[in-house]
Amino acid sequence: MKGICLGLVLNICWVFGASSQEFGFGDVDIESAVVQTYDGSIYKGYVLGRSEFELQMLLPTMDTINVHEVLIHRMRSSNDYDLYKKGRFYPKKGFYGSLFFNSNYTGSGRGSNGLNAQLVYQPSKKYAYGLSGGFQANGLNLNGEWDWQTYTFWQFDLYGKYNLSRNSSRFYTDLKLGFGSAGENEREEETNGGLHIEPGFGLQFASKGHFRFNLGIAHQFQNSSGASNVWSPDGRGQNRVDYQLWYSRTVLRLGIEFY
Amino acid sequence: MKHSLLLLLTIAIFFTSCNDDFGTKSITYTKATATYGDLDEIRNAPLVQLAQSIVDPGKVYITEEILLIGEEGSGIHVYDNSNPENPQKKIFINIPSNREFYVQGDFLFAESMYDMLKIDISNPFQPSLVTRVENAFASPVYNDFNLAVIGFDYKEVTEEAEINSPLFQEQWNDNGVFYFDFRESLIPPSAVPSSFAGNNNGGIGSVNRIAYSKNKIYAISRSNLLVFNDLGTFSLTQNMQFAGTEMETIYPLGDKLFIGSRNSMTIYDISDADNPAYESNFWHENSCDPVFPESESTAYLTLRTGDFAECPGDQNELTVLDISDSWSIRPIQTIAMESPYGMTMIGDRLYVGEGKRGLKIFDATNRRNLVLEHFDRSVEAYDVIAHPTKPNLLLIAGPNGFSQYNKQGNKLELLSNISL
Repeated sequence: MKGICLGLVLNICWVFGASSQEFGFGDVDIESAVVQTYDGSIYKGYVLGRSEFELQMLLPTMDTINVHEVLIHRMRSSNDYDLYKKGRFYPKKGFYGSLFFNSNYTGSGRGSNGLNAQLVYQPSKKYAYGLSGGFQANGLNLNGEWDWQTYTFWQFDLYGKYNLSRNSSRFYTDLKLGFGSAGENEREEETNGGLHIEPGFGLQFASKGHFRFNLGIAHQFQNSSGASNVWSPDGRGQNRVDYQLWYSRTVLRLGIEFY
Repeated sequence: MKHSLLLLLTIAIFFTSCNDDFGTKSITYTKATATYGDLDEIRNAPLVQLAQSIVDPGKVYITEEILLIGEEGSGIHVYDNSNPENPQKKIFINIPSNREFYVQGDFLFAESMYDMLKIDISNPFQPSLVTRVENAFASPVYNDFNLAVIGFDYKEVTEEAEINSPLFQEQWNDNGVFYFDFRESLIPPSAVPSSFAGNNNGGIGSVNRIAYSKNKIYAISRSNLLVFNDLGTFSLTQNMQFAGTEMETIYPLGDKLFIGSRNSMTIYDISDADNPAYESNFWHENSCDPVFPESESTAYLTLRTGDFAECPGDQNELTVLDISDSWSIRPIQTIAMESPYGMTMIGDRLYVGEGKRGLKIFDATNRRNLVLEHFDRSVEAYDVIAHPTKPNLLLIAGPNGFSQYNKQGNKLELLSNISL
């Protein structure tokens, strides 16, 4: 089953990765822009020319306008942003932050929940990399029946992201690679952390403001070892269990990115 | 459209989420392996055998004539004690699996695995079986060869397993889980290495699992309370399943039965002697805990924990309980102890064995306000009772055997010691 999970994630990544060329990444020769003036007017069109004091634009109506620089309140140029309908956009490069809630709800104690944040630098419209930190709480029962415990890991990772499309709803694949340090558990048992690997993919949605939403799915591998005192079935005795394991959990990711 | 499909795909995968942790685990546990035997053969073995050496002593009963020393799991050594300084081995009473017994006049009541026996000891060197109540404690479990479970061998083992595999699998028969039933229903080894058997001649003793009151024998296993009728034919009249958990000691007083268990002291009303009725409970920390009701209004409870499997922890104390309102038991005095075991009241003095740490003597003139009067570290005591006929003598069961002491105030003068 774990092979299926991993295969699913990697296959989807591969499929989108292989077809990324079809989305037609490439520089746009003609600069377009969205200009908002102080009186609230918004103009969208191609930039025909600039001077020290004026911006000349060709509008979709085929009219040509000149806007004085002092009247321009805000301007987003296609040189710096990917622009879409209704004023939605993506910056082409720069820093941004993100915050994600991860969850794997199973209806039993074997679930996972977590929260993590990333600080990301996007040097081009295709790639981004940065640092990630957060925690993940995993439910586990080592007796295989009913004796559930929660094991928490503080995860610190290197983060890489690759955009698979340039639509306003943009596919991406990403990877976290780092270390998960074991937090204290309820029974104060010996728990050790280990390598953390988290491949994922998702869809992010362009927005008009400084926040954009993100929906994704990822598969988390967290290495751990330790020793646990497990209650016997009649609840009247404890037995020692030493373990070595990889948590292997598919999680839904809901997040926001901000810059 | 594509986005909607992806969203649907995401949600679908989310709800069929993959949780396939992989790895290995090794569990270290005490494995109990059933041992089987021919129950008929065991039951029909001769009751009286030649005298044997003492290997693992348990309960002790002393009079001026005889000395009975329980051999854990196999029977009772009978000594001629007419010369207390040199008791003579006479016979061995063969009672397979026996751990607890009670002496009532000329009769000895002893458990033997599934059965309860009544033995005539009017001539203690020629005892005879009066009645065997078969399967009183539990119904035997048989294997395919018609051999019954007669015990378990315990061994600490470590086994490997896949991380998601269950560690335990319950195996049921018609009545319940095999091991669980055996463990809960039959009388287990005592948490006190050596102690005095209950009897009607001297002290009842505070660390017994068999008690006698109003022609009824009461016996407790870990979970069950059994009532035997000793008026007329000796027979089982009641087996109360799950009367308690981890019960350890029983002590009758008037119309009440006081039961000490690992985490509580429970009072049963036995005004209807055949049908004990739960009355109240006093909860405490998990510990080994003899209970000794001194009167209808005051009881003493020792709580013992330490670095041992039965009662792990660090709570060792003597608690004085107000039981005048049995529906509302409350502690009125708590005294820190080192490792308390059994106890007895002689006159206005409460004697409490501290095991290898010694013997404490409390001034109990005010029964509800004990004052430590003397701590004798030279007298190692697990259990202590008064001599049945000589009030100035104290009988002590300890790590070094069984000793008789002459009381002179708080000073104890060793008269004799039977080393074990």
